[in-house]
Amino acid sequence: MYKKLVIFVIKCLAAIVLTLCTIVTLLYIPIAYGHPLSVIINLKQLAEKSSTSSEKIIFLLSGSSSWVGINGKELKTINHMRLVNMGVYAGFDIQYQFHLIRKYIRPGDILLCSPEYGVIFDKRNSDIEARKWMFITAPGYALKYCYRFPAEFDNVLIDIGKLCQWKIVGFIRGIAEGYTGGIFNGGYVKFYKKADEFGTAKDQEFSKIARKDIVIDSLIDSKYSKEYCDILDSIAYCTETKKVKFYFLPPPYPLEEYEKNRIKIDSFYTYLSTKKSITLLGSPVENMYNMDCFTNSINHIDANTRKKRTNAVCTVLLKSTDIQF
Amino acid sequence: MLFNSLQFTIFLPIVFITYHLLPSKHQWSFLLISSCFFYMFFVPYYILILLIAIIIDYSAGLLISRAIGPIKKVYLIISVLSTCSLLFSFKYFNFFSGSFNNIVHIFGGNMALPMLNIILPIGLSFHTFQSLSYVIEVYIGRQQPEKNFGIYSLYVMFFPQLVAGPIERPQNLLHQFREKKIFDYNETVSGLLLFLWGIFKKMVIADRLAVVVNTVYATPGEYSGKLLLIANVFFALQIYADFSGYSDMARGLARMFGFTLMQNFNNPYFSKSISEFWRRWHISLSSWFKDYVYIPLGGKNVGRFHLLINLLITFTISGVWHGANWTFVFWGALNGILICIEKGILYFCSKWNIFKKPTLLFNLIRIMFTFFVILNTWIFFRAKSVADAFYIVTHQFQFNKNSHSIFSLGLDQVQFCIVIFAIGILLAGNYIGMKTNFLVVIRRLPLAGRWALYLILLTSFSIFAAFDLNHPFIYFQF
Repeated sequence: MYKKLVIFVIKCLAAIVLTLCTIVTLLYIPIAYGHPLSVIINLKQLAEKSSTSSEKIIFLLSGSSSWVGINGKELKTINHMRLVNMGVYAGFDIQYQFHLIRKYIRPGDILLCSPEYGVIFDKRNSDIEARKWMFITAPGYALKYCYRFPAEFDNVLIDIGKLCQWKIVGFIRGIAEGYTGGIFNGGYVKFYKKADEFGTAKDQEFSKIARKDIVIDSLIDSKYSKEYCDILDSIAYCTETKKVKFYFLPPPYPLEEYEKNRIKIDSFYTYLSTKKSITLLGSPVENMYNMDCFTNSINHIDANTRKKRTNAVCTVLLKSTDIQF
Repeated sequence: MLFNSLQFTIFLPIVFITYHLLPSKHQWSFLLISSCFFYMFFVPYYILILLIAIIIDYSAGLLISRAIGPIKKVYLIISVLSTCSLLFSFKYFNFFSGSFNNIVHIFGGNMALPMLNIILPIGLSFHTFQSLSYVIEVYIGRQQPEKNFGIYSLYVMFFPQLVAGPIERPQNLLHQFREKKIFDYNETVSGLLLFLWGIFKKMVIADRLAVVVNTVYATPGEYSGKLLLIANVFFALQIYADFSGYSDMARGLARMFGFTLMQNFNNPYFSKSISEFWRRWHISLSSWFKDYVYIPLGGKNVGRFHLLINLLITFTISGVWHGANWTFVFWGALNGILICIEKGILYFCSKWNIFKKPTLLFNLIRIMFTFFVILNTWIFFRAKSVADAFYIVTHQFQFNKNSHSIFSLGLDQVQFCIVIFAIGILLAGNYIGMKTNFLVVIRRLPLAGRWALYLILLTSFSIFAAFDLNHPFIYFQF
């Protein structure tokens, strides 16, 4: 009787292990078709691809303020440098974005870091949505730093289930839409259709964004995170050893909000200036605009302002004595 | 602890392995301890209420068996009233005082009965009914009283069927606790598969459908007839997947421990009439009402008019059992009225010799018509108020009103496709299940095929189960 029981238990365990293996295999199949955050996988691949050419690259680590706030195409035209804009979603912490591209950066490349004030002051590292993509793109990182984006155990199970759903659905949709890439040709992720080849938002996306109801991330009752500054410093130190320039690019912000939070924001920059390996690219005020330049959030500028800001970033990059084009 | 919770995935293997490793004389006591632990996971001190019900009916069983003459009936009445008063206090007191206060208010009175601030102990209606069936069976003489208090407690508290049935009869379950249980590989596997089938119904289908149903039923006035109709169909499928899923899990679990519980559902949506539906839906409760309410009222051995009244009474009480709300009273009475109408139609059909040999098409029409009628009765079961229910009934075919997209009800296109596909599997499974035994088919497969099937089922379940929704079982509220 006990022998049969043991056999039953062993078979149950084997079934569980096989199921887990199937799920893990499914997680590693590089298909994530059409989901907004699938762009992060493309960017990782883009970084990998770019590193094989002699072209110099600007890696931009940020949130969606840079996804809509910098025009990769214009930057290339003016500066002749390819942009890999990792800033698709503020939920991805900067360290994670750096983790994705760190092995592809080469001497002469530039690393721009432009986290939103909401992130700097909130210590907001990641959320559930982002965690799913961290697991899919960098499971080792996700496990190592899981304490920074804590979740209930069942939430992690939900993440994994949802990810597998997207993969299966993505695969079916890919076939239905006649997409020939995918699992069978060595793995590929279709670009998120709202993003261009630099990982930045396409111009036509701006016409779809409603101007009203601007979401304001209030900085009231919050203080800049020294821990966050230390993370920035550690990234800067890491890039320095690779002979890659590291710049902190102030994020776009409404002037009205700056007036309300001037002391807090200035104190952050004062503290940041104590970090010797971090160089500020332009002044914070140069990246501040009137509220009517923003679309649906105080982090998202409109198309005209993006053009203006991209030009300003190009100019300041060109002017920078450190950078030799 | 819910069957679909993370805690249960830890609880089950520990209890299962320990149970089968223990000598048979200790197995029932271990099951009792596990059942107490299982129940105390909800609200620990509510086990005292359960204990009171157990003590009352255990003592009543012994007293009834020893008593002679009219005192026997007195013991029965005391036991039934005590058990029902527990149910009344926790489940119906607020309903009755609320209704009384409303009536007094309508007539301009100021008197108000107090409302109790208590939560209904989970599964109270189920275990009180199971307990009552024991006392009644002992009174009738069809069951010997159980002398062992522990075994009787386990009869009421057996964790697979503790919170939502099936409501077992003592003749079927009590003796099983005394039998020596030896681990049976085939029975365990079939129990596990039945459990997984149940959890599939609950977590892949019912929990997803609940999202749409809850959204529409929260504010039915905002939605067009099309969406109301979809929500009604979804609720009919949700309640089936939810409750039959729970029953399958309960039966599967019991089977893993070597026990046989009664079948609670027998493909009810393939019924050709309302009365057939009630013979196939929640069989343990329907038969309980038949045995302990309908038959004592006179059953079939009464005049035609009296029979219809008996049916109406039985179904109305069944409605009240489901919940302390006028919607349930109305729902029960409506089912009673529909059965009375059906009896009348059948009477005239047999008298005039029509539909003696129904064709396949005619049967199909009858199945669809029965489903449609049941669909409309469920509206009263699910709606927040009788007024809401009437609104839905009268507006579900008004398709001209502009309304939200179906994908704005909480399920996106992907989730919608998943649930439709899963419903297809459920209906196909039910249909095939009517023709053949799934478990036999699976066992006949070669080893590789069987394992491939298990793997596909387990992986699909892990991926497509709606872990994030986690709605409680509908029948837990009763």
